[in-house]
Amino acid sequence: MDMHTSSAATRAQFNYGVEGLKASEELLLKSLVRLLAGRTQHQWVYHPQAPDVWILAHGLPAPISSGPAPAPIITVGKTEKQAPDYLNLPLRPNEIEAAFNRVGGTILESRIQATQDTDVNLYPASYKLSRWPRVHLLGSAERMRLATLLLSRPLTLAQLSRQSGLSPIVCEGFIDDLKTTGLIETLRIQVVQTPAIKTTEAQNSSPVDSTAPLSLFARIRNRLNQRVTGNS
Amino acid sequence: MEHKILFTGVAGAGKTTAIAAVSEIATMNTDVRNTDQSLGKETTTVGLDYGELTLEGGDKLRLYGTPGQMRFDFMWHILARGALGLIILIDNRRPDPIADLDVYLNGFKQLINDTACVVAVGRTETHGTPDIEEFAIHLEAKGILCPVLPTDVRDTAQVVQLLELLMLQLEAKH
Repeated sequence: MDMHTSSAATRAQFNYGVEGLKASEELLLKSLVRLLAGRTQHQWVYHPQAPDVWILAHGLPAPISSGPAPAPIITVGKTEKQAPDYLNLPLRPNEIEAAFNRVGGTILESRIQATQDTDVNLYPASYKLSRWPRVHLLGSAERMRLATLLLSRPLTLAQLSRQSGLSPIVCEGFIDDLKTTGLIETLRIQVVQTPAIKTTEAQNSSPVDSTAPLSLFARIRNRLNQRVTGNS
Repeated sequence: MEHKILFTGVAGAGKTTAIAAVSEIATMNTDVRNTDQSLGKETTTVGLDYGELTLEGGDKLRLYGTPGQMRFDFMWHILARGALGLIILIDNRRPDPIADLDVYLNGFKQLINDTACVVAVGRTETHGTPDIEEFAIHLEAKGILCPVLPTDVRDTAQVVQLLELLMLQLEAKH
């Protein structure tokens, strides 16, 4: 059993498209994204017909969106701009990984929020582990992360998905497995959320908050990932 | 800014190795020739280990390995001040690893209550008893909820995993 590798099948999958880069840069970007497939928090597939995020050359206007909301953009250029949604040339794997993780987390959160907006249940189930589960239930690094989060405090399925970066289906599967052990407690906590508040929150939240500084813990995690990938 | 994470555990549990696995600088320690044959190694750390990582923005993450011997427990409290969290390394070859765990749960009680901890059990491939389940049950009985997993601290990825699980707990609590 390898507990230290990521299982691609359990991660949320998103599409990306590329516009305006030189052919060599585009080829390098796609190659690096494929190489990073085992490390990024989400799976990324090149699919320019229906991208969840655009990778655009600096100065290029945003493509016209066919969906209800414009896809977020990661800009590639040479201005040495220090921003989470900006990749400086030459492309570096650790910066690509960090940018894709960041935008993937934002997309996932917006989708979970959309699901919650249609959920009329004001008493969603929260789950809490009473102790660390048996080893046979923890066959992947993802499951260890889920177990760790569920030990820390009661979490709804949506909260667990958001904090772990894993799809709700994966989280639900793990909770279902835990239910057979008797180690997980199900709580019903009222969520105080009126339609008016929801509307305000939706208006205030942009698809990608590219200006938010990384938390201390995220910076530590990024640095540790660099140690594993050998980028420094 | 500076931040710190502590690694603790008995002499020989692998604190020096764990810190060296992730530190970006050559680790500093105060190793001396070992005269305790039961440890089965030529040197042992009588002071502390030190390694560090530079974070985005220039902050430093300092990694400290506490001296393992209980006679140095006065240093544990000094090192624990302001730490982000604790990683406890257990050597499963020892006569009573659960009792070893208790030493550090008690010695770092305040830090564990205030922050988070992860228990890493080494040498389980050759010494399977007590198993991870026994550690988990013991931790539950002590009222401590934290991950406990078999770990080979010579493997950087496994040490990183310990730190990642520590970060996850801290994020969930904040």
